[in-house]
Amino acid sequence: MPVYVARRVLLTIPTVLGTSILVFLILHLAPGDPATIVAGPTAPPDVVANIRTQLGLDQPVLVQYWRYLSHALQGDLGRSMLTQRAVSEEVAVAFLNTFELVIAARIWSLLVAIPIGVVAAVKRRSIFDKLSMVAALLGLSLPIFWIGLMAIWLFAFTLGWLPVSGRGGPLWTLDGLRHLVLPALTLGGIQVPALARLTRSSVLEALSQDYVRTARAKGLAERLVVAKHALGNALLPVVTIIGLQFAGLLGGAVVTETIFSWPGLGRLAVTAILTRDFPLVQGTILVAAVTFVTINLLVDLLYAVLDPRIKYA
Amino acid sequence: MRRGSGWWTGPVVAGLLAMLVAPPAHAQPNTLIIGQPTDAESVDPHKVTAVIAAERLYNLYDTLVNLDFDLEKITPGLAETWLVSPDGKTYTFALKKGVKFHSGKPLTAHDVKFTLDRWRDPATASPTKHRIAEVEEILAKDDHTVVLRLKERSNYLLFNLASGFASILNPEAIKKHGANYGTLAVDGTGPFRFKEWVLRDRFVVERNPDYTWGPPMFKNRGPAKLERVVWRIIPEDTTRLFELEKGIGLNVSRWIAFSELPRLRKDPKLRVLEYKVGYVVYLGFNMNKELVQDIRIRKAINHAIKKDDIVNEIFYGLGAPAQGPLSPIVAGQWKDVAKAAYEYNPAKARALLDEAGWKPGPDGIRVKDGKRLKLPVHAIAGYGYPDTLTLIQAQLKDVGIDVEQVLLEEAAIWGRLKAGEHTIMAMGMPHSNPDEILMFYFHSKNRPAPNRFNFVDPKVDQLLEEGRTVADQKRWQEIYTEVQKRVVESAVWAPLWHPDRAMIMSAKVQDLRPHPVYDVGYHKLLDVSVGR
Repeated sequence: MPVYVARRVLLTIPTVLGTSILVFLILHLAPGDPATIVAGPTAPPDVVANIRTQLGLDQPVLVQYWRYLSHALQGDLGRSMLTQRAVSEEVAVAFLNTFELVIAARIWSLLVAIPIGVVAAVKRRSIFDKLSMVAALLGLSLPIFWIGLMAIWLFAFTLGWLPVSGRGGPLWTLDGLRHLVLPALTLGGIQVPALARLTRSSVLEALSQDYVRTARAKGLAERLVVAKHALGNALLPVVTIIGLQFAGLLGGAVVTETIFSWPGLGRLAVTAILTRDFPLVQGTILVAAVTFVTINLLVDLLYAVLDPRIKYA
Repeated sequence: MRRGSGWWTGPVVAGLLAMLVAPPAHAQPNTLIIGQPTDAESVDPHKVTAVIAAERLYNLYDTLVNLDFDLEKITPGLAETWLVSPDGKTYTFALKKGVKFHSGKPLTAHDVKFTLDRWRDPATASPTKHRIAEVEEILAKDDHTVVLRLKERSNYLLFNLASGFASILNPEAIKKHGANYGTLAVDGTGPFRFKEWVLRDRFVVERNPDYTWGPPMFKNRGPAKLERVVWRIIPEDTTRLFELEKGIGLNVSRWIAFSELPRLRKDPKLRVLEYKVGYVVYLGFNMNKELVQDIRIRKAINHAIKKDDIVNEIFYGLGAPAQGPLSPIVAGQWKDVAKAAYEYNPAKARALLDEAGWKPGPDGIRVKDGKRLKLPVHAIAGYGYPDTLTLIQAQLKDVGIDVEQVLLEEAAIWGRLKAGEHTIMAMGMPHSNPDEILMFYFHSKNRPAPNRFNFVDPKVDQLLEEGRTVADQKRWQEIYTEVQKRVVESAVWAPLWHPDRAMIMSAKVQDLRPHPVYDVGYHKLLDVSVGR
């Protein structure tokens, strides 16, 4: 196991390095000149040239990349071209905001989706099963921005229970929590249908296995049969999807963060790309890549915990 | 099922109760909350150009002088009085006494010298340093006297010193905070002090209780009536509209879709203030491109565009058709520009194209020597340009011109225009005086950018230079009248429209008067208050 983990951790290095090279090249190939953007459209050419030199953009791309990499390896991600703020600070703040949002969304979507899936499987062909699966299909087809706007309209605009948008205070304050509810509800909401359907089919499959029949034959209560025997085995594909969905959550966060004015990593990346803020784009992509690789590793490791037959050497 | 169905009720009921019991997210009293789609990059006056940064600068800092709401009168700022030498090349400013920075440090002439030197220092790389290019030397004669020596007379020095980018800084704060100045720390003399900046979420300033040196263009000279001002960043249009309408998270915004205005005007809880700014939106022809080198084609396009439709159909009547390059609210605008301008007349447009040898082809699009009259127009993919171009496309098709829309994101367009790949470009430009726009766009020394039309007229060059330095007011007007006449007659532009702005606010907001300078809207918020 330790060898496996060490190998996987080492494998993240070429992945992250490759991502950074790719992003660097794409950024430099894309049209748009950061110096012109910093200077603004009304600045005379000598001012733009001056700014270009200050930002180091007059150097060859290879030199620029090497400078970036050598600084990054020492923990210095540079400063944003536009705001002059340290990229590491900007990215850290945005990452924490997105992290809070994604985790809150994840927790509530799991709390809702797994029970729905399990109940639907156990009460197969019941009204609950049919209704929940129709609802799931409907939920799968709804775009996230629509769900977000409807949530705002209902909970903030009509009922006035929750703030419409913004970050509010820190997470541990009531204000911060209240601001988190709607975006988390929206972002988590779109994950529920797929998760519920998958849980249902996994549990159904597990329920038809021999060991379940044996458990029932032993005279175990149905609740225990489902909870101990079926669910544990059914969770393996669900965990895979949970891992994969994290990428979707990070992507979906861009839209959610825009609708709810949530100052997270998705919006930071979009702003940085639109303004060709090279160091900031590099920083956000780096953090997103590392996060994704880490989550995938954790999911792989979780397999071994859930299924003792899986062993990593 | 009975057991299974109970799992969700507990947390959900508890959660709903907690929300209902919690106090509503209303702002603290006497707080102005401004909504806008994007955040500023910095509030270091020498690092920014954006309108959304400029409006914060006016509230955090002061300038030596101010430009009144009429965009003409220069009024005192940190300088109580100023003297101009007879040759117009030396300005002596007497600073107000008793002015303090937010940190408590008293303002001196040395701070002014430091600020203006920093602004023009190439090492600062300020994107607005050309605004002070005519200054040769800055001297602090004593603690309260600043002398500016110019290379030559300038009609625009005071205009530029009134801009937010000329805000006076505290040298100690600049040295202390280095690269973090303007984002993590700010020290000005303005009516509001920097409190908090959560990037892309909110920018918060609070009242400076010591402020008593406000410019005379405001009724209240200080301290401000507002307790605090919050700029909230809300990228999504609908969300911004929800918050403003409901009055829960915002009480004023200039960024509301035009299509909502007719409805919002009727809402008794809101007030819609429409006001004029110095701004023009135009089509500009690149004279280096053979297709538009024939003046008859440029004139035909001018005649074929029905500008009223752009204003009324796309922008809900919020503005006026443009006849020339200058906004009618800016001093120096040629009042009789309509005489030289091109009225909407498709028949005339067709005749001009016929005369130029472009004859209608089988599909109605004109052809000459086997070539179709297809004209690409470059524009930003936003700010109403796509709709405007679609309308123009239909209008020009009517006279036999095929318009191809080349819509680009903002980051990409400037480089493409600079490379000169455009035949026609659609763009807009704010301006508060004639030099700001005419010198910028039509002097031949400014090719290939910002004179992206490659317009060359030696007479215009000479007039523009004279306009900067001429002392006689009558001659000054003659000069700019002549420049506008030549520009309109050359048909290097098809001026489209002068947009107005709408500021939508809660009816509780009192005495908020939009300022047209640099299109900022919010100048110093000294008179403003928010009722309960």
